[in-house]
Formats: sequence, structure tokens, C-alpha cells
Amino acid sequence: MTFAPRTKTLGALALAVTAAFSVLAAPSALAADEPTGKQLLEACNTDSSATCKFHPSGPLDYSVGQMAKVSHQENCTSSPSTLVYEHSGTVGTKNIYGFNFSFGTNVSNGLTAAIATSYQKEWYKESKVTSQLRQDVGPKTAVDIYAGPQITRVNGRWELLFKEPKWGHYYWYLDDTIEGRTSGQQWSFYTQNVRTTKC
Amino acid sequence: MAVAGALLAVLPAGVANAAANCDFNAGTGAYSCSGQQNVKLPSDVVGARVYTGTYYEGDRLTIWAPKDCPKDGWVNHQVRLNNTQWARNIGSVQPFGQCAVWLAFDNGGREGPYEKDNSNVADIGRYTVEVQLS
Repeated sequence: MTFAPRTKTLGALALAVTAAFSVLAAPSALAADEPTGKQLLEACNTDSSATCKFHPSGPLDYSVGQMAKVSHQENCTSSPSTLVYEHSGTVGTKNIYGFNFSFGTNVSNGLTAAIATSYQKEWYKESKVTSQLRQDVGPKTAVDIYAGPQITRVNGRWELLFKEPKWGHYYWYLDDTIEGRTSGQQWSFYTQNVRTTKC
Repeated sequence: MAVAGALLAVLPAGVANAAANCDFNAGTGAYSCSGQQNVKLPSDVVGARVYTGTYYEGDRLTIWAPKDCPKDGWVNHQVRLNNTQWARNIGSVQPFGQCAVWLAFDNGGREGPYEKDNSNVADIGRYTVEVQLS
């Protein structure tokens, strides 16, 4: 632990002289002449002098996303056999504003930095992940295979700071819920026995 | 630089049953646990958020300021926590508005600066009686 000496304090009276401009933009309460959350994030993303900082709220929430049927396999032999199935796919990042997260940009950098700082986790880029399913399938039996991405959800607030005012303000705050993938997450599977069609 | 006497922003006592999300204006001293609209002026910015829990959970205190921290080497805002739920009970901190957060103790010492969000300051937060922004 390090202790810095108590430093000089500035009287609050001096602080009231200059005003920075800001407004809080609640997602559900945007007036007609105010930008949408998507517009604000896009503005921050494309302005190299802007700062797009994300402040998380609460712990990361892990779950499995939408399961979808990805394969149908049949064991037409007369003995049990082990099914080995590989599923690959990409899981992107999305938020409640429909913003397009392209990684390596202001906004996504703000997100990945926040996740690394607060949770020591990596928010994955849109890279392909491959997971393997191994399952015993009985003789003359067919299975449908379903897969769903393991996903992470994070709530928080964007703090967007512009060098030049955007929609009349230097600062914009934006509450958000973001969904994507963090380190260690792959695909989840389940299988369902179904009627054979080929045996 | 002239120092016109440090004006301590003081939270009112006796808010043990306050709502989970409270707002305090370091410029005006306004304090409310029923919505930021009761506290912030149109031009105010967030200076910091502190939470009773780690990982930004628990009761949240948002500290508003007239402008972002000027990074002039001075402590620009001091917020005494008195006997609110954050006194000696801060689990995580988030600096906003170019501010750095210091957690000060009643023995005159302090810890910081926290320039980035920190999801677990509980070991320090249990001694913290004042939040400073610089």
C-alpha cells in the first residue's frame, strides 16, 4: 500500500467558473432531436480524437445463446458407435443499440480494455471457435445435434468524450448491455434421438 | 494558485435505508437517492462512481461535478462520506471525467490515484471515509 501525502486542495468556489457540457442520454428517453445510442457510438468510433470509455456494472453474466440444429447423424450399424462431431462458428459482439462492433476501433477498444481491467478477461474478437462433441450412439439410431454459443453479457455505461461538441455536448453517457464471447468460451451441445431415415 | 479554503462536500447523515443508487453533486452539495434529475445540473459531468460491493455491485454513489477534472495537480473535490453506507465500506470504484479517485482515511492517509475502474478495492475501502477527485 502506498500513501501519498495529503495534497493541496482547491476551493470549490473556483470550480464553478468553467462549465463543461454534458447530458445523460437514457436509452429509453431520447428526445426526437437527440441522437440515438447507435449514432453516438458511431460518432465516437469514427472520431480519432474522441474517447470511448466503458464502465461495467456488476459481474459478468455467463450463459448459452440460442441453440440451433447443426447436424443430423445416423448410426446404421448394428453396434453402438462413438459419434465425434466438430462445430465451428463465429460469435460476434452486439449491444442493445444495434451498433456494429468492428474490432480494433475506438468503441471496441474501450470495451476490451474495460473487460481486461475489471475482470482480467479477454473479450474475444470475431474469431472462429471450434468445439468437439463426443457421444455414444446406439445401433440403428439417429440423433439431431444442436449447438449454441457460450456467451458473456455485461451491463454498464459508456462515457463518450468528444474534443468538439457532438449534438451540443462534449460528454455523453449511454447505458448499455453488450453480449459476446470472452476467453474460454466455446460451443455448448445437446443431442436428441430421432427417427432414422437412412438405416 | 489561490486556495479559498477547502469547501468540503458533505453527505447528509442518516441515510441507512437509502435506495441503491444515489447521486451527489460535489459542486452544489445536492444529494438524492431518487434520481439524478434531483441533483445534476444540465452541464454537470460524472466525476466518479463508488460501490459498496466489489465488481460494481451493491449501493452505488454517483458523484457529479461542474466539469471534468482539470488535471492541475490539485484535489478538485472532496466528498465526506459521513455515516452513509459507503463510509468504511467501498468495494469498487470507477473514475469518470478525466478524474482520478483517491480513497482517504480518517488518519490523514489516502490510497490512489485510481485512474481506471477497479473492481475490488475492498481492502482499502473498509478504511475510507472520504472520496477525493483530482
